Amino acid sequence: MPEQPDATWFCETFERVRSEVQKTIVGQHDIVEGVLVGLAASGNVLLEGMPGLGKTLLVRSLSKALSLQFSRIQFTPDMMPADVTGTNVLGEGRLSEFRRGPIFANIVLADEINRATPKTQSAMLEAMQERSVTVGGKRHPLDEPFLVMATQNPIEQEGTYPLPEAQLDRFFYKLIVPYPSKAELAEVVARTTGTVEQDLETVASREDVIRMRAIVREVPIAHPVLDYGLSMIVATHPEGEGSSPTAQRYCRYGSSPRGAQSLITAGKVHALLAGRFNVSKEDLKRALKPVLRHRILLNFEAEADGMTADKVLDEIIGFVDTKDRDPIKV
Amino acid sequence: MSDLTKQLKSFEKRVRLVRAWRGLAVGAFLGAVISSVWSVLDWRSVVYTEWAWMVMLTAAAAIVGGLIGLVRKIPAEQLAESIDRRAGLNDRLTTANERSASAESFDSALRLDAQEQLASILPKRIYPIRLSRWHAGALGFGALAAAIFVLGNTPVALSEEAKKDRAELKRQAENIKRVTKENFETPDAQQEMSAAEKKLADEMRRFDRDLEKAHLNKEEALQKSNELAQKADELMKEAAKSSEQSMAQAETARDQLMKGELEKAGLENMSPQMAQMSDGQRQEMMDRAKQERKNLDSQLQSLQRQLDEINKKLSNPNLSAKERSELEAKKKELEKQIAELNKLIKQNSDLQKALDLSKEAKAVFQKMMQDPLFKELMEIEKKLAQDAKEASKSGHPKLTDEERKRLKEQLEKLAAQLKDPKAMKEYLEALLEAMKRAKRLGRCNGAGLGINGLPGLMPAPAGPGSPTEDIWHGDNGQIHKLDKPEASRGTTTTDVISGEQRPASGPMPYVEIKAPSLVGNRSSVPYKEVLPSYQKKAESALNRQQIPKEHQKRVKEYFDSLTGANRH
Repeated sequence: MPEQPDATWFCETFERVRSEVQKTIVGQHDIVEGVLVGLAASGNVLLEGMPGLGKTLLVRSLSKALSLQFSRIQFTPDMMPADVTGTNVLGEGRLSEFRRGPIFANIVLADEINRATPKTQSAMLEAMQERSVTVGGKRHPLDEPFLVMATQNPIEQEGTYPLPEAQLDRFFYKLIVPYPSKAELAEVVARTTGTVEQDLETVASREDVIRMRAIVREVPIAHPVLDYGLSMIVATHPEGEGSSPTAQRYCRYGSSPRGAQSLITAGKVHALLAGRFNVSKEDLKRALKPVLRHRILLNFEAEADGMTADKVLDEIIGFVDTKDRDPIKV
Repeated sequence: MSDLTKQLKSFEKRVRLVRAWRGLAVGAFLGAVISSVWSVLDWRSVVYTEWAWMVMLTAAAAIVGGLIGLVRKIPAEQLAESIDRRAGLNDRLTTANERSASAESFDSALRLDAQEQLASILPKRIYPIRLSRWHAGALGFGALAAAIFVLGNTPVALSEEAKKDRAELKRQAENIKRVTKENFETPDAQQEMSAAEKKLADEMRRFDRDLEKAHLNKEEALQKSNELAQKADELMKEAAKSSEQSMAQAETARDQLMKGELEKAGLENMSPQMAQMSDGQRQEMMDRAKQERKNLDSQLQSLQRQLDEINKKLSNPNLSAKERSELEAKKKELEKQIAELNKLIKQNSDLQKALDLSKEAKAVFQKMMQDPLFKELMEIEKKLAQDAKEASKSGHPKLTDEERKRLKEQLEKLAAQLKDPKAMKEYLEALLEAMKRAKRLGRCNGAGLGINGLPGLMPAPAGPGSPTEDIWHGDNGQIHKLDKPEASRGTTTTDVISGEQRPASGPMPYVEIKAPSLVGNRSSVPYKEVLPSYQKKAESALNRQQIPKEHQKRVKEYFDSLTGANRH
């Protein structure tokens, strides 16, 4: 395997951060990796799971492992948008002065984001996409790197508001946090009920994160692979050329172009993590569910048939694979 | 060429090989499918096939398929993608190939990585040569085609008798094949065959195949051979007719040639026929004409006397009105007869004059006959005419193919020697045409005889009247011209051929012409069948003014008397 300094450095840094985070997080390897992929790909991550599964701990651990400014916003139904973005206040000499909200940090933990009202949730929109906040007609850019890690409880729980589609689309990844296994649970109990507390070290700097993001963008992708990825995106559309029968049956809305961008970028990160210098179809398949599961909106029939977004995406992969054949028939 | 491209070359070769292997199977499969259909159609007698043809078709299709597979273009990007899939290279090659000319940060590492990965893969591992569904299909359909063919062509479940019949039919097929080959597949025949002959040849070929494959039972074969024989006979009749017409044309051309010579000698009104008469014939004709004149004169005197007597009676004033009117009627009748006789007397004197002049004309012809070229042409014409007449009469041309060939060569040689181009050339061309028609006659006759020669299909011949040469096939409407073969072996005698007298009373102007018969046998073809063609010939001769004016009427009257045109 040939050496490529940037790729090697990327993998090493990624592994260092992952190892550090895993010191506090027991199991949940895919979740940890997903969060780090989002970090490397400049994408916001939405973590969904029942309370107490370590979502907040994960994000906190990450911020500790990286020497980045961290802030946590605990969303509640009575929270106002200004509580997130900040507001203009009268300062000395009766001058209006902008007081920054908790959004002004490198890593923002939006805890239980679906407990806030849609109005407050939408306050995050501009920050997540434009990396800036506009208050009182004045635009305030956010510091780089900026990353929103939101957690949410399953929508069925009481006192939650579903996130608007526009906001969901701005999340790069949506990760479903599973229950730990029995062995993992035992480890969790052992770690948290003992006397030894794990201190996390800072293993990567702000610059490292920016460099990681730059390296990711350089990974090449071949046309047939890109075409394969886009075929998967198009296959989620309930109408139009390339639409899959599953999407036609179960989807109200398919993925947006942002979904395609996220898929390719995630593929690039996965390629680097696999030690390759190119994106493969497997990378795209691997990234498909976290990228698209929150971007496709299922219809009533899907609900009636017990179809979830992940199941629909599985079928879409199957559909695209059947069309993707060896160009040389022998 | 980059290292990666070089590495891909060995894979490309392998892909070509595997594609050729697959193409071979696809081609063989298609060929075998067509062969299966073909063998079914063969079994149902719709088309004809041989096992060798089916094998050739399948092999040819396989070779074509293989060649297509071998030479089909393999784009590098497709090859790279295919290797990626088969070797599980995670699109390394595809990306490296696409970025072979790029120099961004990952590109060089990417190419190196792809090369390393590719180096560890053997082409034959990812592109193995194996039996596919196409191969199985080709074998399956090949076996099916063979099975159908064998079942359709092997007397597996036949009785002993049926097997014998089959063997007999196959033997007859050989005969038909030979006849078809001899008559219709020679280089000359291929060039000269008419559409009808080609059709007959095709039918004979089909018949041969059906017999060979025993697709017909004995009765059907018999029926079919009768049909074909009838067709061949019809064609032969037609050919005989056209052959005779050609001969007539040749004769006309020759007469024209002679007429030209006569004109040169100042004998414009002399017919070539008269000029060619022998001295004996001329003398005989002259004697007959004189004798006829004497008869006519005596008849005239007798009528004149009768008329005088009537005139005398009429001058008697004591005659009753009834007697007078009877005498007047008789007088009128006599005057009419006298007028007729005068006409005949005039014709007779014209004939005598012509016969006198024909002496001079003969001298002209004798001179002409000295020309060896003309002599030779006349000789050929004679032979062809005899052949055409013989064929027309008996259905069997006299000349063999070899003889015809020789005559043709002779004609072509003469054509090269021609000095007086126009008239002689016309004569020569007419003879060549006649030659061609005679060949056609030979072909049709050969075919007819060949088809008739299938005695194995007939019940065993018994006793007199059993099929000998051409009548085995039962009643097919033919006229058996040689129903008394011994008659054809008679010596040459002189027969009288005359027009059929009409039943009407009174004198009738006709002349008896004594002509030598051909081979001494009598014609059993009703004259009504041949009359129209002879009449046509005579009319055309009349139209071309080859017959002296004074004789034209006589000729016309002769034919009218035969057809009964003057009866009403």
